[in-house]
Formats: sequence, C-alpha cells, structure tokens
Amino acid sequence: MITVPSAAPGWSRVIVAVAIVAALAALAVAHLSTGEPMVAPGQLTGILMGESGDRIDQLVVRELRVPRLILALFSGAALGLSGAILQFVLRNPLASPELLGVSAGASLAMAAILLLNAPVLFALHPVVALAGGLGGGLIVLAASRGARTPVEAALIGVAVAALLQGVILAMISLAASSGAVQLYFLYTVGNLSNRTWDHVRLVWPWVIAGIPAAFLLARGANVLQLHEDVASSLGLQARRMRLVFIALAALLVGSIVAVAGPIAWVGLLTPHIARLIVRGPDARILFPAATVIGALLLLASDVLSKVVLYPREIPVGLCTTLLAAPMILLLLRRSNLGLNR
Amino acid sequence: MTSARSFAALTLLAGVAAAALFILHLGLGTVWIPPDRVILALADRSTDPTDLSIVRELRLPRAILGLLVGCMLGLSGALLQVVMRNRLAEPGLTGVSTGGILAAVLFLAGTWGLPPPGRFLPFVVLLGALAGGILVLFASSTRGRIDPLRLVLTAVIVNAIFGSLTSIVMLRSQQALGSILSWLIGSLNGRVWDDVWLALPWAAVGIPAGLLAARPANVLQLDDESGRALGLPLQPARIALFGLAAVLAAGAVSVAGAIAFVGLMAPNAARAIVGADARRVLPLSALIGCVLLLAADLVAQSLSIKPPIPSSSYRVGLPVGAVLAVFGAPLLIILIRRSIR
Amino acid sequence: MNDVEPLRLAQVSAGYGQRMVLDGLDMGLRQGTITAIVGPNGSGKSTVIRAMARLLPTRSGVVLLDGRDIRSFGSRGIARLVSVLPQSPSSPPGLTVRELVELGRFPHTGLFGRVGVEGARAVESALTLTGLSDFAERPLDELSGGERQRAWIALALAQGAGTLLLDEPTTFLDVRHQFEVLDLIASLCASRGMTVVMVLHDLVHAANYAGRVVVMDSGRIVADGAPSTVLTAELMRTVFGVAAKIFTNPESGRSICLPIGTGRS
Repeated sequence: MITVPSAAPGWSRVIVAVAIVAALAALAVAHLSTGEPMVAPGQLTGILMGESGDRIDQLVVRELRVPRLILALFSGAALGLSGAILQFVLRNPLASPELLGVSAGASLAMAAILLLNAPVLFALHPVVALAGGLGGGLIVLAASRGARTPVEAALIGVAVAALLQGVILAMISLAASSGAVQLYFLYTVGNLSNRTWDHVRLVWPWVIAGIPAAFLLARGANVLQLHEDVASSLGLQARRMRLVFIALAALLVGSIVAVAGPIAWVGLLTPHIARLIVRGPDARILFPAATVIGALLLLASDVLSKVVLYPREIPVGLCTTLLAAPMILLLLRRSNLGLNR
Repeated sequence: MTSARSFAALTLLAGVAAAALFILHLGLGTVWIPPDRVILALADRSTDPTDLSIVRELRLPRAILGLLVGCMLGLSGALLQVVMRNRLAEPGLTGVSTGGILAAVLFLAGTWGLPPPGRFLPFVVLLGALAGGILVLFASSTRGRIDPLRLVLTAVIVNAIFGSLTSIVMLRSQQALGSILSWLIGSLNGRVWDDVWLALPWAAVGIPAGLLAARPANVLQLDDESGRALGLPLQPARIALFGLAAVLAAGAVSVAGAIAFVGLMAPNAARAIVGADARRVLPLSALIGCVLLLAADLVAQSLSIKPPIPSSSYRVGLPVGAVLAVFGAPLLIILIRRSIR
Repeated sequence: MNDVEPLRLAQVSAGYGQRMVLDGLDMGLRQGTITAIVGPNGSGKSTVIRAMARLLPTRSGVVLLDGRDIRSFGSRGIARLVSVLPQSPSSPPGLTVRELVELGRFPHTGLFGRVGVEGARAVESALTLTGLSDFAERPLDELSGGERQRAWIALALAQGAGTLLLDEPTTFLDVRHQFEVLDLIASLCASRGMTVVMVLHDLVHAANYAGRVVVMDSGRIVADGAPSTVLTAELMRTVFGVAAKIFTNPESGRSICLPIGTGRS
C-alpha cells in the first residue's frame, strides 16, 4: 500500500505548493543559463529583453532556449497528465504511455513519415503521431483483454513496444542517411535539442486544449475508478467516457512525440509522486498535481541533459530514464505502487 | 510421443536445419554463391579464388558466430528458466545482457587509447552480467518470493537504466549508430575472425558444461522439498547454474551485443516439443537457438543488401536484434497470457 | 403510494455473446418491498439485476421503469431511479468513505454540476443512516468488510433512487456483519419505503428478510411468492438438488430452510 501522509493540514499544502513553484522557477533559470554558451543567470533578464548580451547570447537564449524551455514544460505536463489519466480510467497503477504502446506507436508513425519521405504537412505531424499512438494503444488493449493483473497488461505493452521499436530500428538502420544517431535517439528515447519556435507553434494548441479538457472531465475519471457496473449504474456512460479519456491521453502524448519523441518513464512515475503529495485519489486534484510535477520532472531532466556531457547535449529521454526509472524501482519495492489493492 | 527415438529424430532435424541455414548464410551477400559452390569452398576444393576468399575470409566468421551465439543464448535462456522457475526468463529479460553491455562499454571507454583489451572483454562482460542479473533478482523479490511477471517488469526498468547509461558512454566517445546498435540491440554485422576467436573459448567451455548440467537442472525443476530429499544441495546448484548461464550469455554478448528473445523462444519451443526433461530441453534449446539466430540474421542480411525502402548510399545495416524483436515479441505476449492460467 | 410498479420485466431475454442467460422472464416489483432472488449458480440471478438497471441490454422483451420503457431514459435518468450494488466492488486505494458517498451524487451533478446544498444533505443523511458518520474521513481500504459494505450502501442511498438492487450483499462477510447489513437494508425499506431486490445465496437470510422469494433455475423463474409457500422440501430437491428440512421459527413465525445433504446417501 502507498503510505499516504494523513490529512495534510492547510499550511503544509501551501508549503508544498510554494516549494514546487520555487523549484520550477529555479530550474527554468538554470535551463535558460546552461548549455553552450553559458549565460550568467543575472544577465538573463537583460538578454530576454534584448537589452544586454552579445548577439550570439541573445539568439541562443531567445530563439533556442526559450522555446526549448516551453517545450520541456509542455512535454512534462502532457506526459504526467496522460499517465494520470490512463492510471485512473484503466484502473491500473502501471498504465502509462510508455507501457501501453502509445508512445511507441506515435514514434513509429513519426519515424515512418520522415524516413519514407511521406508528403505530410508539418502542421499535421501531431495528427499522424496521434493516429500512431492510438494504433499502438489499441493493439495493447486488444492483446491484453481479460488480463488478470496490472503487471500482465503492462508487460504486454512492453512486448508490443519492443515490436514497434524493432520496426523503427529496421527503418532507421536501412534508410537513414547522415545523422542516423540523432534519428535513433529521437525515435527511441526522445530528444529536445535544437527545437525552435516552430515546434512550439506546432504543439501549443493541442496541449493548451488537452490539459483543461482533462481537468474539466476529472469528475468522470473519479467515477471510472469504481467498478464498471457501479460507474454505469451512477449514470456515467462508462465505455464512452473511457474512450474519450484514452483519446485525450493519446492526443497529449501524440503531440509531444511529434516534436520530442517517446520520452519515457515520466508518465508512469509522475502520478505516483503526485499521490505521495496529494491525499486521496481525487482526479480533480491529482490531474493538476500530475501536470505540474510532470513539468518539473522533465525540466530537471532537460537541465541534466545539458550538463552531463557538457558542452555536448545528450537526448533528454536518457535523463528522464536515469531520474525516473530508479524511483519507479524504489516505489515498486517499497509500496508496490498500489498494485495489490 | 517424446520417446528417445523421436527426440533423436528431432535433434537430427534441428541439426540439419541449422546446417542448411549455415550454408545459405554463407552464400548470401552482395554476390550470391549457390550452395554447391559454398560447400566446395568450405572443403577447400573450390577452383575459384574469389569464392574461396569470400566464403572463407569474409562470410565464414559471421556464420560461425551466428551458430555459436545462437547456441549460447538458447542454452543460457534454458538454464535461467530452470534456475528462476520462470518461463519468461532469458538473458535479455533478466538484466544479464544489459548489465554485460554496460560493463563492456565502460571498460572499452576506460581503456581508450591503450592496447586493445581483446581477451579480457568477456570477463568484464561476465561481471556486468552477474551484477545485472543479481540486481534484478534482488529488486524483484518481495519477502523472499519472486513473482515471474514482476521479475520481467523489474528487468525492463533495469534494462532501460543500463541502456541509458550505455548510450551516454557511447555518446561521450561519439560512436557511430552501427556500433551503438551493435551493443544495445545486438548485431552480427561486420564481424571478423578475431570475434570468433574471442567467443570460441567461452563456447567451448560453456556449451558442454551447460549440457552436462541437465541432471541437477532436472532436480531444480522440482519443488524445494523434493529436491532436498534427492540429496542435491539446492542453493549451490542454483548459483552454479546461474553462473553458467551468465558465462554463456557473456560469451555471446561480448561479440554480438544484447540480443534478446533467442533465449526466450528457443527453450519454450523446445519444451513445447519434448516436454520438461532438461536432458532433452537443454540440447534442443541450443540447437533451436542456432536455427533462430541464423534465420533472423539471414533476414537481416537480405534486407540490408536490398532494402525495401528507398535509401541513401549511407546505411547502417539492419541489426539482427531488431529482426528478433519483431518475431519474438508476439511469442512473449502469448507466454505472458499463458503464465497466468 | 401509487399503483405503478417501480420496475417490471416483461418477457425479457438477455445474455452474453452467443449465450442466452435469461429466457422470457416476467417479474414486477411492488413499491416498498424486499424481494430475494435465489437459485443455483449460473441460474441467471445476477443477470436479472444487470438487466433491471440496463447494465445489460435486453435481446427481446422490455424493462419498464415507472411504467416507461427503460430504453427511453438517459443513463443519468435511470441512475436517479435505480441504484445497483454489484458483487464485491473494488475501490481505488486511499478513497475515503465520504469521497465514495459523494460519487453517489453523480446522477444529479453530471460532469460539471455542483454538489450543492441538497446533495450535501443527501450525503450526510446517507452517512448517518448507515452509521458511518464517524468513519467518513477514513479510507475505505482500512475498514472492515461489513463497514465497507455499508459504505457502498451509503453510496447507493446518496444516489437518492427509490429502488435498490444488490448482488449478494453478504458474500465474504462474517455472520454478524451479514445480519448488520441485512438489518440496515430492512430498516431502509421500512423507513424510506425503498424497493429492494437482492440476490442471496443464503436461504435462511432470504426467508428471514424478504417478503417475497423468487427462485430461478436456468434463466427461468420456477417459483415466486412468500417464503413459506416457496421454500419447500420438494423445491430444494428439484432446483438445488439437496434434501432439506423446513422448520418454522416459533419467535418470528417465518420458515427456516435447513439443507441436510445431497440426499444421495
């Protein structure tokens, strides 16, 4: 069982909220300062306003780092929220985009249009990724129908993801020209390097629409946590509602995969951290909490990705794995992730 | 049905299949050499000097490695399944292979610029393999018991961590995609005689030892009470067999990388054909491992020679591990579904 | 009290996939009564409950809710009239009793509405009636089986429906908690005029608490009426395949059905 801190009094919630906001701000400053060239945090405001710093600094910070910061926040928020959504509506604490074939399916779709030179408009990339993500997710849901334990369903997702990744690898190793290493990491672990305002423009409508939609429907997620017959007898169209939520999660993940690849383990870990901080399984609180914590986790990973092999950057997906996967192992051992309810 | 005679017939059949694939494998390449000419060249009776040099110098090492690696992985998987009493166990799903490759790339990065470490590499891989396997066993045991599916889930997460660390080490030394995939996914592309000499001693020791372990393996398959009653010191036997499985995996991983699914498919196929008796399962697993790896490498090679997708002149070459993932993942799903029933 | 039956099945057939479970069932409920459905395993008891609440669509025949075809209702419309408690429902870890009971207001709030004063009052009264006011802030998974079952009944009460369908509400409870839960149901029926249908395995409970016992076998009703007329040694032999003795409880005047063996020895 997860040990939920007993009814957190008001002030301790305030402290947690302040700490999270402070951490986000500190990480954002670190994110904008680090990389090649390094920028002193004190100069950032001036550079952002276009008042100080040389032209290179201004260009790097305003045209590369700010959009990347926004993308990191978007990615973490979308992944954390979609993990929470999936865990709620599938009633499986292991449900997450990476363990349900959603990320891998979206990634395969993106790799396919790029490597096969399919004539798809840039603006439609998130749609293609969404279709791929839904395809991967539906394969896993179909293959795990009647699965008796959450672990069984998750492992079927792992197997499907391995298959899809095998196809991605085949395409990259057979068709990629120069920059094959970058493509490999982009489509198998996820990368945020060299992103520009174009990428922000591509995903913001999806993220900005998807997140509030999930918050608004949170009460439905609360009911879906109960037995399917109970949910239906309370007047919720359980099956339809579940599909709406899965589509919403796939939409959030798809738009992120389209620009950053299948960044893993944030979606699985974030809801569990949120549950440690927020008391009780109320989606109206947990969804926003997972959104914020996901953003925090991914921002931290992205800062890490810029300093591990400084001055070179490494793919952010490697860092989310190094940060989140050990914590998942730890939670799995200590509290069993709430698997044996 | 599984009488001694039908077992002999099956072994013969698998042996013939392996031999036929071996000849086919030697014939395949940018220049196709028909089987009769391959056999002449192998017997050193060919009058065509190009046939001789292509078959004996260029293609023979890769084909021999296919045989050895398939054999070692099949046997290693069969032993791990006995030791862990888990039909899903195999080097790639227990942290053994990924622990091995992480140790290998760390070792290679550490000795950069020094004389080639050659023969020591498999020993280092063995240490990593043991550490990886033990870590997964430790992390997945709850109150001294290990749930089979939990073990695989833990291994998947540990594999992700090891894979990320491996990637970072390789990014640091700016490796090409071909060599990254060679370790992470497993490949036989571009293998030469030196690789054969590296793996051969490990195969020469590991394979006979593994086959001789059939009797204790049979006892270990029983429950602990009966095993003890038969007078086998269980814990030492289990450790010895685990070590043997790690030795076999280390030999294979040192030359071919973290190839997954062979060690899963071969023993399960063998058991489906001849039942549970390790005296039959172990040799048949080894043979089926050869057949699978050679067949998968034939697919990898023929796709690499004539890619089905339009491609540039620069190509990495399809790693055999990707082919095995595509064929092995569906089997993994079937086994997961069955393990519950 | 009006004369319209709160719920009626008319010639209802229903099933799963190829398999038909209910075969032309006719059954009406009188307001404010307790009906027990009994029968051997696989006789279609749970399926009746699911068909009554449209959790399972009928293949033929109609279900009438307040005299209207149930198919003409919206999902939340049904939920305001009928609440269902399935067999051993599971809850997410950490959910408190109050949070569970508040979910019972979903038919009234929908996805976006507010619980409101009336809703809050319904939640409080459900907690009071089930004796859970003191447990309201406790997580469900920390409660005993009997308390948990009462919490689920409180959820159904907060729903404010006049008809309550329960599928084996006493399974997995020890005998004291069984009586507690059944007493609670009986008192709700008496004080609030609720109409109750419950699937029961225990024939002693059925005879004790229900005014009417419906016996099912292979998707049909084989006996229907007051417990004393329905539960006979003959019926026990033909439907359940057991020999039984029937006594009358001198205190309550109700009959007690005591199975004594397979009747083969």
